[in-house]
Amino acid sequence: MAFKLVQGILKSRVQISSVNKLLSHEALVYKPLIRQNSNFCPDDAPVSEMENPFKKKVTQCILCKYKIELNYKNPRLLSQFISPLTGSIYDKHITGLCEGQQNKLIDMLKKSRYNGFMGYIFKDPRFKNDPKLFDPTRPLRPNPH
Amino acid sequence: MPTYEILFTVRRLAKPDLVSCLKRVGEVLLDNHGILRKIEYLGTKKFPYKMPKAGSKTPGLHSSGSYFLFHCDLPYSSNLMISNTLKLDHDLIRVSLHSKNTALPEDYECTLAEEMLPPSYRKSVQNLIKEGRKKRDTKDLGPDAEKW
Ligand SMILES: [Zn+2]
Repeated sequence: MAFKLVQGILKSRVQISSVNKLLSHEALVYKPLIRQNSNFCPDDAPVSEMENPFKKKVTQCILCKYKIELNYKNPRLLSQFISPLTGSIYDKHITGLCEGQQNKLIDMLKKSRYNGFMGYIFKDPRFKNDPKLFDPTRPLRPNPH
Repeated sequence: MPTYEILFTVRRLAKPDLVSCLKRVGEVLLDNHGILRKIEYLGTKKFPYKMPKAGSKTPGLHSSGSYFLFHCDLPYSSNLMISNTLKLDHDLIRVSLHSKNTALPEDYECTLAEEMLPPSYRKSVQNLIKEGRKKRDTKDLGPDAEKW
C-alpha cells in the first residue's frame, strides 16, 4: 500500500520536468537533472499519511491478549499461576500479568480456597501436566522487594 | 436489584434431609424479597482440606460434602441479613455471596507495557517524584491553632 503511494507521486513529478524543457532557455537556470524511470525524488519529504513502519507492537499479558476471564469456580486455570511445591501464588514479576489482572487473580484465589475448590498448601495433582505459562527460575522483571 | 451467586457446601446428608436443607435456603432468600433464578448442583466431592464449620465453636472437621450454587436477585438491604442467617444453619459448612459482574471493565487496557519500562519512565514513579518528600515540620494542630 505504502509502496504504491510513493510510486504514484514519483510518476507525476517525472512528467512535469521532461527533457524538452531542458532544451529551452530555462535550461540555463540550474535545475536538478532527473532521468526518466529513475527512483530519485527531488524533495525527499516523508509521506505524511504513512504509518510508522518501525513502530513496536504493544506488549500485553496472556490474559488480556486472549481475553480470558478468571473465575473462582475454575480451579484449573487458577492453579496454573501457583507453585507446584507450596501452592502459594507467584508474584507478578514471575507470572507476567499486568497489575489489574494480578490483583484479580489474588482475589479469585482467595474466594476459591475459602469455598473448597482449591487447597491452601498444595497444587492439585490432577493438573500437574498442564502447560506451563512461565518459568519461575527466569522471571521477566527483577524482584521488586 | 443486583444479581448474586450464593455458593455453599452442605455436609453429607441423607436425601430427604438434603431436600429439606435446600428448601430452607430457598425460603430464606424468598423471605428477604429475593428472586431465585437457577439452582445448580456442582457435585459431591472430597474437600481439598478438612473444613471446619466457619464461625462455630463446636469442634468437628468435614472431609467431604456437596456444592450448590444459587443464582438470584437480591436487594442491597437484605444482602447482609441473608449471609448472616445462612451461616447459622448447622448443615451448611461454608456460605459465600458473590456479585455476578466480577469481570474487569470493558475499557480496561493492559498496563504491562508501561510496567516493563525502567522506573524513571513509569507514571507512578514520576508522580511520586513530583509529590516530593512530605514536610516534617508542618503538623496539623487543628482549626484553633492560630489562637494560641
Ligand atoms: Zn493485562
